[in-house]
Amino acid sequence: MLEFQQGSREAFAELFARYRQPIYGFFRRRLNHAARAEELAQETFMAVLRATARYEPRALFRTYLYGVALNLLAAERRKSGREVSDAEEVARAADPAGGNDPDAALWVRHAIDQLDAEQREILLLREYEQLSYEEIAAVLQIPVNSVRSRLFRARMALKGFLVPQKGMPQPSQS
Amino acid sequence: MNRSTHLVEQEEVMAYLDGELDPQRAAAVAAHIDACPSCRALAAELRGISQQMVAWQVEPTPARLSEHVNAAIEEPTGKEKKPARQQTPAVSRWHRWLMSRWVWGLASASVALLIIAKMTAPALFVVHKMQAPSAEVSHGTVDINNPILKGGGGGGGGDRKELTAGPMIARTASLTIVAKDFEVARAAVERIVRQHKGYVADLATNAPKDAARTLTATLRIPAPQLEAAIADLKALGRVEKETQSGEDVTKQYADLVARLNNSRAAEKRLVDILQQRTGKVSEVLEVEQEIARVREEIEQMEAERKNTEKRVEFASVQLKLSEEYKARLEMTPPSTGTRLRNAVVSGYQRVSESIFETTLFVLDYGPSFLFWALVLYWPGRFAWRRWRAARATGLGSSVGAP
Repeated sequence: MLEFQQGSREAFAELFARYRQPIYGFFRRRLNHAARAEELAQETFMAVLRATARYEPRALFRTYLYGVALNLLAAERRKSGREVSDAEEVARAADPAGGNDPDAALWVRHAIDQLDAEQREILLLREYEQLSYEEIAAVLQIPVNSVRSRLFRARMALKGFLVPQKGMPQPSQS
Repeated sequence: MNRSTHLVEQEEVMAYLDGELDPQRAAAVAAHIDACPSCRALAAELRGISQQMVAWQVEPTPARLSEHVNAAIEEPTGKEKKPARQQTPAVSRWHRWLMSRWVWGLASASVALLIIAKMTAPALFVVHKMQAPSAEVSHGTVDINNPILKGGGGGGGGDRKELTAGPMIARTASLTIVAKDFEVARAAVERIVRQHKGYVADLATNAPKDAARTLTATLRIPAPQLEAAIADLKALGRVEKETQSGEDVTKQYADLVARLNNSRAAEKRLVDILQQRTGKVSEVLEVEQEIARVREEIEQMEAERKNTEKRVEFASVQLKLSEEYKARLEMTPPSTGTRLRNAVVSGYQRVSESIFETTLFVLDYGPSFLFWALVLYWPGRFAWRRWRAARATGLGSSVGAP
């Protein structure tokens, strides 16, 4: 990022190549529409581009990038003003076309959907965005210890939701 | 797991698996996991959860994203191409929408609906007339120039839009009128609104003591009656300002109705699919989610449609009515009781003021008076005694003189 700030376009191209898929995945798992996820991913990189001159290396670039993405996501949710809750939104979110087992993917999505919003966000940031506890704490502006305890609770809750209920169809075993 | 006898917290097992412990602590926890069956089981569970979560993958990034961002990188910093950001999503959204598997079913349902609508056109038209009484009552007959009737408005279903064609205009007007008699003009406003089958959306009057009274109101008048209503309102007094404007919402309304029809057809088809077919749980859930999404869209569009129809059906008139101000001369003298009371109050105020003024004077000059009294006391006393002694001596000598 510092190299790009000094005029190296290749540096930003490399950053973009590295984070393109993770940022798209970030929005895709949290929003209902693929096209909107694409727009917001693009908007995230554009925002970083626009703010290049003001960028200060106070934290990891990754933390900064996900911070921008989370802000845009929050703005999108406010703007859309939809009546659906976050949980419903995740439930209807990404089409698991990229996975090998769509049933299993759907099962996971529904299990995640049942978590409360805070736990879900921490879990998604850890499992899919692969952020460290410290990075999650920085992005969500909460203490590291809270991240650890909430993540543990989220995983324990998810374990319960992932267990097939009696009478419910089970996901195919991959 | 008994926590009191455990040296490792459950969260530490998780942190160890996440690589969040320092090397020393990680080694201790690893050794503990090897030795403790319950912690080993927990570690296995946590690994299992992460492995299961891997199943939810998203599709690769669309190529367009790379193209636009790379193009922006090539631009000088701060001059990114905004149009790309605005155009692509719309194209992309439509492209994806068109490719959706539901759209084909939806399209065929729309065609069927259109045919049914054509066949039942006369019946619908009759229903429509009944739902727009205000337009009919005022003219006695159906006004074919009425944009509401032409546009399919009036609170009915949107599927009638295809039957007629013509402009739908949302009209607005504003009038500023100065009337000689405010009360008469105000009553006349209400009468005019009633006469033209309209209603008062909001009204506020302002009657300050030393200024002209004003009335501001938003009147909703049936569009065909607007001209007549404005003419009646203008007769109330001198017109200071008048504006009229109209917004053509035909295209907006037609688009809305078409989208609404499509969504309704899609909803019906989805419900049919849900009722008639059996499949995997994933498919059932997907259909349910799609139905919920389509219903939400329908509700939003329905509200928008009604709002547009209302705007077309009833023109909005912003009226500001004020009276010609006449200053009033007050000649009535106050009563004897009031005058006596005023005199008592005035007397009391004067007494208290004089006490206050005296206190102020004493406080103001008292200290300096006291000071000079102390300074001049002894010289004065001395001089006084001298004068008295001299006087006594003088008297004595004069008495003792021959």
